[in-house]
Amino acid sequence: MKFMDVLNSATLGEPKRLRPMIIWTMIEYLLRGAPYGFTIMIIWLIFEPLQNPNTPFNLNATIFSCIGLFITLVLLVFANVKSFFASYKDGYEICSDGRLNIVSHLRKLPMGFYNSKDPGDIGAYIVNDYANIETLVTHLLPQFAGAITMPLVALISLMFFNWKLALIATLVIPLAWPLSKLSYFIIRKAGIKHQKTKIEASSRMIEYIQGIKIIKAFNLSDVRFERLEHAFRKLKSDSIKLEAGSGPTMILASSVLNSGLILITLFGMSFLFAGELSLPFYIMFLVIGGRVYEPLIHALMFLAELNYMQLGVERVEKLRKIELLKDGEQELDSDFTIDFRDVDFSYNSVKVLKNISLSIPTNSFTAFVGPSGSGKTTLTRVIARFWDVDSGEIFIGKKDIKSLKIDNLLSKISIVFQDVYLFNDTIYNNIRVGKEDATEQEILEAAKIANCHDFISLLANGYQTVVGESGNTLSGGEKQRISIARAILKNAPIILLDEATASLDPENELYIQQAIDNLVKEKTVIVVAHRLNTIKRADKIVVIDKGEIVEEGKHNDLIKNNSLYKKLWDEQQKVKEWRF
Amino acid sequence: MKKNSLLRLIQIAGTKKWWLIFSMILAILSTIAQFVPFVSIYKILVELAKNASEPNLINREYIWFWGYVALAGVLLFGILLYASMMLSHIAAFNILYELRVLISKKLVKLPLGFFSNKSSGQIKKVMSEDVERVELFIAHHIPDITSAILFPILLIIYMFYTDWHLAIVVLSVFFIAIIFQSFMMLTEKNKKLYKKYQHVLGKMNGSIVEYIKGVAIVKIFSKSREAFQKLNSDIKEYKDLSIDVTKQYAPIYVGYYTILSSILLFLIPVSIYLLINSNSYSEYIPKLLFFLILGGGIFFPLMKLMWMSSFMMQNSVGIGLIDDILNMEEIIEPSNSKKIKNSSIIFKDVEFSYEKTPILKKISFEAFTGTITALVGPSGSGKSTIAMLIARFWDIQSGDILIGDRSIKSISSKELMDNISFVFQENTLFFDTIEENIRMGNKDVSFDDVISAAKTAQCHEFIEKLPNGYKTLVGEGGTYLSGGEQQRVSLARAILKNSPILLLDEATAYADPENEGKIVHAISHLIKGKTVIIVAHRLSTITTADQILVINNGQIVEKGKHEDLVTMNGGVYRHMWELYSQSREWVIGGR
Repeated sequence: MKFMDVLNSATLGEPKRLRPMIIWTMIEYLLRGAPYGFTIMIIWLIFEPLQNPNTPFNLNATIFSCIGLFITLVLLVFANVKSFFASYKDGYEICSDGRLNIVSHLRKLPMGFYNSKDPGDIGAYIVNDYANIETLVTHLLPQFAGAITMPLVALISLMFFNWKLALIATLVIPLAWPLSKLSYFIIRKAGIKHQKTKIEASSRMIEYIQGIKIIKAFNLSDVRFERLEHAFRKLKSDSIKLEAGSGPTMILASSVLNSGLILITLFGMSFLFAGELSLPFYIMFLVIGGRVYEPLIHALMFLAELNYMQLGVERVEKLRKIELLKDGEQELDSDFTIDFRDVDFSYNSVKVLKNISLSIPTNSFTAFVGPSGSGKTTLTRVIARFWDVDSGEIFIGKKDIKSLKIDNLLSKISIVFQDVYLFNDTIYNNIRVGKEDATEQEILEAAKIANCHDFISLLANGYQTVVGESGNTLSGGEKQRISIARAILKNAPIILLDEATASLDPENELYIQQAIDNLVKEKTVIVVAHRLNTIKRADKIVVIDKGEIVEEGKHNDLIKNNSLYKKLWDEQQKVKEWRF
Repeated sequence: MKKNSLLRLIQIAGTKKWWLIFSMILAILSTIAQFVPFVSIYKILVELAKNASEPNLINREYIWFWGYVALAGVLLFGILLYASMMLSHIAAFNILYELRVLISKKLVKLPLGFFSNKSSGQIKKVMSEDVERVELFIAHHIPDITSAILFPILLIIYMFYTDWHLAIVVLSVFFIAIIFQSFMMLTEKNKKLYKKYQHVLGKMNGSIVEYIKGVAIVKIFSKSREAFQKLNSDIKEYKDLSIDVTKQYAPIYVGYYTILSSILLFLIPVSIYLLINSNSYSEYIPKLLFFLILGGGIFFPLMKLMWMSSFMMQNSVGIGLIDDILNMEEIIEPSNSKKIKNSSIIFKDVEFSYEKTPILKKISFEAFTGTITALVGPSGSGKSTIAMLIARFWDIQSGDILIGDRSIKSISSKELMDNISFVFQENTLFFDTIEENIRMGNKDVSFDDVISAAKTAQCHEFIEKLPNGYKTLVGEGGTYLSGGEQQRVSLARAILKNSPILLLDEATAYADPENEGKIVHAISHLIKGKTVIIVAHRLSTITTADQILVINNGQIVEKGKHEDLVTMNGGVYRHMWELYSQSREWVIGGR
């Protein structure tokens, strides 16, 4: 990724926004270099009586220099304030816009993206990467611009006084360049390795902490500890290596740069004796030569860091480039018949759905059953366009779902997931997710229908209780009911329901069942079922095995059919009788 | 920064005292070396000044010499700085390593109850992030602060030796800069602002992670990101606060840098005045050049200090959290432990509260050797806690728990654990082969024993289908197993361990019907002839238990066999059984 590309993506394609901070910082650093100019002038003034013993010390010129110095200081304050605000205020605004942009982009990504990665990881990366981008924009970039300004201006102006010597002084920069490149390379390589070791150590830590009960139960603290210790030891040595690795090349690079000073001293002296350079100019070269290389070394270091930050920018950019689902034009009316026509779908090049054709009438109750991994859950998800199918079509109300506005499609579907996810927010807001503009009355009503009003009212803060905060842990059954209240509030005509497999205490189980019964009334319902018992009354049971529909019909028909469904049914009836 | 946490950090750093002392010495030397090129230029200028009227008299070798010194200084600066940094980093990474080992060792000695799901995350954060932060202090702050303080002092002493008038000028500017600097780090207001900044940043980052985790809900339920007011307002709040902080710091920052740049403005008039009024113009020139060229050098280390102060405060919170773990009360091991004679379990008036919330009240019961005791009751009633107390996850406040007629406090944890197996809802597999995950370090059993345990636990079949069979790596970073599969592997583990006491906490909770039968089947094998305590929701599975304890609100409200309890009019168990039967017959849309 080129430097400009990095800037482009850090600013969402508006690198112009970085211009004020770069320009003002350059002006600031230029003014900050001004005192050296005045130092040279003063040294000249002092040397004049020495060179020509009869001339008096030029006091007026000194006074003018001081006034000049004062003026540049005032200008410096002004430029400094400007650059400070340009760097930080603009920088934070750029990053805030970037964060908002990526967040809204993430919502539009196909769900498939989230299934392939741990959402927690994606979140952690974004948080980290944006912290890096923020440092890049507010610190690194302006400082890099500042650090190269003074040396560049100084070296260019020296050209006018003696181009040969100035060229010699500049020569060291291209010499140091490959060395600094080499050190980025080393940092990057060691950095990647270090990152891996860090993740490994982190995995071992989680394993050790979470497994401590088992570790103690099997008296294994020595064996498991050894592994953890080994991971820590490796982390230590890799951290030291990372720190050590780039040092020597960096020292070499800075020494090469600084050797410019000795070149100035030596060549300057021979030019002085050859009469090509006058004494005042030689002094000027010496004084400036002592100052130009230090900031250049800083610039090299910034560049190395910039290189590191680039990884984060690249990741964000990659995320931004992920293609969104194509949005359609049409909207649904009151027909919610769902038709699958020859649907094929592969995931990670494994065929998950094969040649599925199926019709689900409006307001009917359909159940998908089958062994785990058969594709029954995926079959419900493609209706909500979590992924687009590879071939074939899915219609709702005779309209291809790809031709529908995505927002319109999703507004007609509620999904009750097996894994309940509640936001770290109040119960009230967690229910309100179902309908943004719901009134308090509507929310309470939904809670009542979902059988959760009673337990919520018993909480000290009622609906304003924040979920997940210490002491406010809700039981699994309670969380599930809140998630149902959410769906009830949304009141979508199509309901996709994952039946929970986790067993709860009988009371909770019953409450949830009632809530679900209330949810599915007069809706087009598709249930992914595990307990065949619960779906006996379905209008249609679809039996799926290895991505294909193997049977379809009402409970009694399927029992008569004496095939896979019958087998599953008999097995489950047997389980019911199990005792320890 | 809290004073005690700074002291604590120094105390921690003290374990690598010599490394750090050498690092500090090298840091000071490197700052001096950084100064060498300027000294060289100064020396050359003095030589040039001396012979300004007669350039031919200039001592070329002298200039060559100082040219080389300048280069040597630069080289030396790099090497010394590198050496100093390496020493401090090696010390720091060793300290981090030792802290982590210390925490890991401590964890094993803590009551197991401490490791709930929630606290696992926090402990991990302390072990990785909070420990990591100590590095900043030890590797960077210690050498930097010493050189930032000592170097200016050395230089000022030399300045006074050269010319005290000009030294006073430099010193006063230096003091003004220091005062400005102290504004940056010491005021209460800034500390509060910093804390608030950290808080707001954390809140925003938390919201982002949460939003992504809940993205499926976001997609299904909300039409626009505006619904996520919370996230948007958190992002905006962070931006606004950052800009506020910027505004707050602007005058100090600009002032500080202006002062650093202004030193010549004070030095030039005073030095020229002194020059003109000096006895010998040419003799005063070297002194003047010294201040002009080197006077600003006093600020090199200060610049570093300036950037550092902003990081200083971060450490105080982390170190406290590390100490919280290290100072936690350990489970007390008995001085001389005795063998357990039998595997009966007796609770005598057990009272237990967790963080001041009473969980169990006066629990008394007896589970005889070789019998099955089932614990039932609503969630939160305390039934799981009873099971965990048997394995001494926590120590109880009053009453006593006896195993084989001995108080568990008088049994060493090794002896206790040798006699108890547990299978809980959460199953941890280690990043290791399946075989080792079943074997769990037991070298006395043959591979055939492992296979037969796996067969009993109904997991042999799926293990055989894995790419490397029993040698397949599972757990964090390995092949992913489903919840039901993990559960069966941990059952195989317990079967192989074959200890006389078995604790089962909702061991079938996450099994789908397909696996449930297999798991129930496996458990019935496992419990033969053992003293079993079982926590169950599926009441049908425990109807044959020798005794059923019905727990509600931390008390045993009913006790007996299924047949007795289910016929008891108005009984809690009877009510549960009715609800259970009703829920088992549920048909969607059937009511």
